[in-house]
Amino acid sequence: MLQSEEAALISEAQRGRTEAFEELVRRCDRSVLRLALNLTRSEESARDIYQESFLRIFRALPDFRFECSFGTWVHRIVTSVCLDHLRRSAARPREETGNDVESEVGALQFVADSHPDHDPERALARKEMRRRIDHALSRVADRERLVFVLRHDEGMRTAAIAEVLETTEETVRNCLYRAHRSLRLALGDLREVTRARPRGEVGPARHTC
Amino acid sequence: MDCKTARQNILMLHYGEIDPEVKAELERHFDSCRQCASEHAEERRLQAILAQRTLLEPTTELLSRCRQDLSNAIRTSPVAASSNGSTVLDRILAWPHRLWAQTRVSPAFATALLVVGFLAGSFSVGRLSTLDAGRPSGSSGAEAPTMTHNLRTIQTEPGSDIVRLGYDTSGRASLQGTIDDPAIRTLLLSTRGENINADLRLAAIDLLRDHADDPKVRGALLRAIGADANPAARLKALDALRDRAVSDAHVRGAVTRALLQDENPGVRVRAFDALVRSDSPEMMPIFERLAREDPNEYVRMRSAAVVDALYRPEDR
Repeated sequence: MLQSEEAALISEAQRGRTEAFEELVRRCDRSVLRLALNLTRSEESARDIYQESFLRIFRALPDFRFECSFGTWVHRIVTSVCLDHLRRSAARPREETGNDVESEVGALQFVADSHPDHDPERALARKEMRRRIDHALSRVADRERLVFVLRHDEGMRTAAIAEVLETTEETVRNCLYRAHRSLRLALGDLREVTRARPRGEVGPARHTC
Repeated sequence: MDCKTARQNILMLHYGEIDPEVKAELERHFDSCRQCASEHAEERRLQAILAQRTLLEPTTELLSRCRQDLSNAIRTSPVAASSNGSTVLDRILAWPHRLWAQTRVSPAFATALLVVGFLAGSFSVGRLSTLDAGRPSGSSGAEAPTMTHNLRTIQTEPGSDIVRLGYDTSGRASLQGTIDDPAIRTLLLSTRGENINADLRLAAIDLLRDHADDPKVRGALLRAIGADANPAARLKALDALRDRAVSDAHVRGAVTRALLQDENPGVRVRAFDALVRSDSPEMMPIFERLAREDPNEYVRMRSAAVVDALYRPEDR
């Protein structure tokens, strides 16, 4: 999107045109929802985060001063809502959070496992591995988990994450390091089931060493 | 490379956020250090496990549902209800409210506002006299508002050098004249405060930019380069003074600070473009440093080209 076009939409939205605001939302909401989904592994939580984030953005828009990019500003609010949500979820009993993505989001939300020589035993092992990974990640501290999802799932660079979280790159790297250390401890006994990856290119396949 | 540095870089190596030289150095370190090589292998193993994690992508249905919910919430929101029918005038009238709210939540802002008000009041006494609201005005050099921090509108006419300024006293007043009128210029200079909206600050810089020979204008533009919260205003102020960066050491200093310290890449690039024409010897170490270290690729490459152009004749 052209920056001038975006700026014009923002100005219109600041003047109270809800159609302009909705157009702005449509341009960035898929990534917001994806972040919320991957962070919480819950469709209901993702919907809550989506709604609360964009309502906060709507209310705060008149004060947006173009001091950073609109995308960065949106992400600042979204990540803040995500952290609030994670804190609230942690304070509630586990049953209420409904954090089991497999039961809640349903199999169709997953990228299809369409390997031709698909065998049930292997599929079961992979499913168990995914469950273990999700469980391990759910035990990582909120802020570290957020940084992990932004870097690992969303592919944001550490500098961009630092800008969004209004902190230093070093702090982001430390958060990421702590998240990895927790995951290594929790998943130390797992063996790699298959080299196929569902989506994304993060990992050694992309960054050969 | 020592083990501590190596450990710090292993994670970034896996995420591809490492310079090629550091990567080569790290790999050489792994050849000679079994512990770090093992750490590297552990991380690689974790990445292979994490690659099995299912990344969720929102379905079209879920996205549509979220959009519909949001649309309903916005259209019934009191904010939307009040802002949808609001005019520019409504928003301006609402401004003191927001300012008051800001002062309540921020003691620092309240203090700053008092200081600005005091300074503006002191500055205007003896220079400016009260202008009646709505009085038709022609050449009005001696007539100006008593308060200078409440400019509301700036209007220019194409093909004319007349400027019309709207400002508030106890009510709204207006002042008309050319940019050469001291009262007009003083009121425009007062827009640099943070409590004036950014559009007005930008319009004021546009009007003042051709009058940088006036020390007050030049000073205001220098302050805008270094301190305006809005990057567009910093850019405009920089553009207004860029031709002076070669000859005026104060301007060069302000532009150099913008190049080295401004958080906005656009402002930094513009500052670089202004300084690159300067053959001042004090700039060369800065260009050398930027060529080596600057995070912005454009600045790094252009700086390298400047340094290269300087040294090339001697090399040959």
